[in-house]
Amino acid sequence: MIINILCLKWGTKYSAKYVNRLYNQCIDHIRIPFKFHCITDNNDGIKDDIIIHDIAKYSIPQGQWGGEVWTSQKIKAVTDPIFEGKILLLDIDMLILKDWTEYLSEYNPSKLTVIKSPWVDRDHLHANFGSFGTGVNSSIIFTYSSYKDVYNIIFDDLYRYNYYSYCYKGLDKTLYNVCSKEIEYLPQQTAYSYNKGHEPSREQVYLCLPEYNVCLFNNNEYNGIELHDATGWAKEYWESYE
Amino acid sequence: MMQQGGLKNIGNHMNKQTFEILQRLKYILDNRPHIIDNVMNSYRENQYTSKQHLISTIESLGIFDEVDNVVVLACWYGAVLFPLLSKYCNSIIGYDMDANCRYFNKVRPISSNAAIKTSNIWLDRLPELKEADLIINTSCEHMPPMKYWDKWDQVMPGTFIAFQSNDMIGVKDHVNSVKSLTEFKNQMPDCIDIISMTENDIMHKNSDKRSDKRFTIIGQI
Repeated sequence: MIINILCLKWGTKYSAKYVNRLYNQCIDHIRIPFKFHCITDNNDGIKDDIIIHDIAKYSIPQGQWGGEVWTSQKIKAVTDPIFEGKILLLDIDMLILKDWTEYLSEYNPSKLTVIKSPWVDRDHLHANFGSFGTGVNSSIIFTYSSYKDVYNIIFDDLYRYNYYSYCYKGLDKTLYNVCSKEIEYLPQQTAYSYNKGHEPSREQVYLCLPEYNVCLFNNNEYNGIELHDATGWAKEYWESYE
Repeated sequence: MMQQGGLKNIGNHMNKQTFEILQRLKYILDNRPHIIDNVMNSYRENQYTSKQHLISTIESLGIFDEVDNVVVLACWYGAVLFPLLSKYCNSIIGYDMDANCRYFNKVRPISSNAAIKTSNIWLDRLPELKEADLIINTSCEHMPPMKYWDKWDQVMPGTFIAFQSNDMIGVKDHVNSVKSLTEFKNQMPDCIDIISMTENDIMHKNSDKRSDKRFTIIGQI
C-alpha cells in the first residue's frame, strides 16, 4: 500500500526549504512507498519529486461572528477523495528523528489520529470555557481517505462552525473540545515539542530526544524558537537534510 | 492540616456559612487539588460585589415575585450566586461545560435547591430552559454575543433575563469583553425588552489604582 504524505505551506513565514527537507527526512525514516504532496500558494523552490496542489481548493470559511477555525484546511485536505488509502499529514516545521516505518505500515487508523500533547497538564483544560489550552496537537494527522466524521462536525453546521471560530479559533482546540469521540491518539512516544518539552512541567526544553519519532517546533504562542532560528543539534540535524 | 474541631473553635468569627465554605475547600484540597485555585477565584470579592449587585437589582424591580425556576448559564461553581439566589426561588439549575463544577456542587451542595449540569450552553441541549422564569448569565464576556444563541425559541414568553459582562479586555479567557454598556446592549437579541441597564466600577485584579467596569442588563422576553 502506498501512503499519501501531505504537508501545507502558505504565506512567507516558511520557505520551500522546509518542504524539501521534510521530504528528505521522510525518505530516510519512512521506508515504505509513499507519495509526497505539498498543498501551497507558491511552489517556487519546491523539489520536482513533490506533487503540488493549489491551496485554494482547501480554503475555509470565515466565522460569521468573527474568527475562523485556523488550520482546519488540514481537515479539508485529509478528506479530499483524490488521496486514497492511508494519509499522513505533517506540519513542515518538524524534525523526524527515528525510523517510523513499522508504525505507519502496520497500524490502520480507524479515526483521525493525532498527537496527545505530552507537554499539557490535562487536569486544567476544561476550566475557563476551554479557552486556556488543548490536549490535542494536529501537527501530525494519520487517517484514511474516507473518514469524514471530523469534517462533518467542523463544517456541516454553520452555527457550530461560527461558535468554534469565535471561541476556539483553531483546529486543535476544536478537536479537543468537540471531536473527542472522533479522534484517537498516536503512541505516546511519537512526538514532543522543542519549545514545550515532553512533560507538563515544561522544565526541560530544546532537547534532542531520539526515542521519539518527531520533534515539533509548534509555536502558537509566539514565544518559542522557530526551526530556522534553532541552534545546536536541531540546526545541524535540519541542515543535514538539505 | 487543621482539623475540623480546630476550625469550630475559632469562635465568633465563624458562622455556619463560613464553616461550610471551609469544609468545601478542604474537600477539594483532599480530592481535586488541581482545581483549588479556580475554586478560590470564584470566591473573590469582585464575584461577591457583582453577584450582589445583580440580585439586589432584580429584587428592586420586583422580579423575584414572579420567579419559581431559575436557570444559570455558564454558572461556574455557583459558589457566590447560588446562596444569594436560593431564598428567592424554588429551584436553580446551573449549566457549565467544566465537569468539575457539577462535581463541586454534588459532593458538597452549595444550596439545597440548586443543581449543576455539565453542558456547553451553546452546543448542547438544555432541557430545563423552557421551565425557566429567570435566566441568568454572568459570564457573557466568555462567549459570543447572546443575540447569536440558537436557543431563544426554546425560552417561554415572559421569561426574565439578567446578564452581565465587563470591559476587562485582554484577560486570556475573555473572548467577548465589551467597552461600554451600549456595546453590551447591542449584543442582546431583538426578542428582549430591556428593563434595566447599570454600570458599576469593580476592583481591578492586579491594580489598586484603576477599576474595571461591570455591565448588567435586566430584561424580559
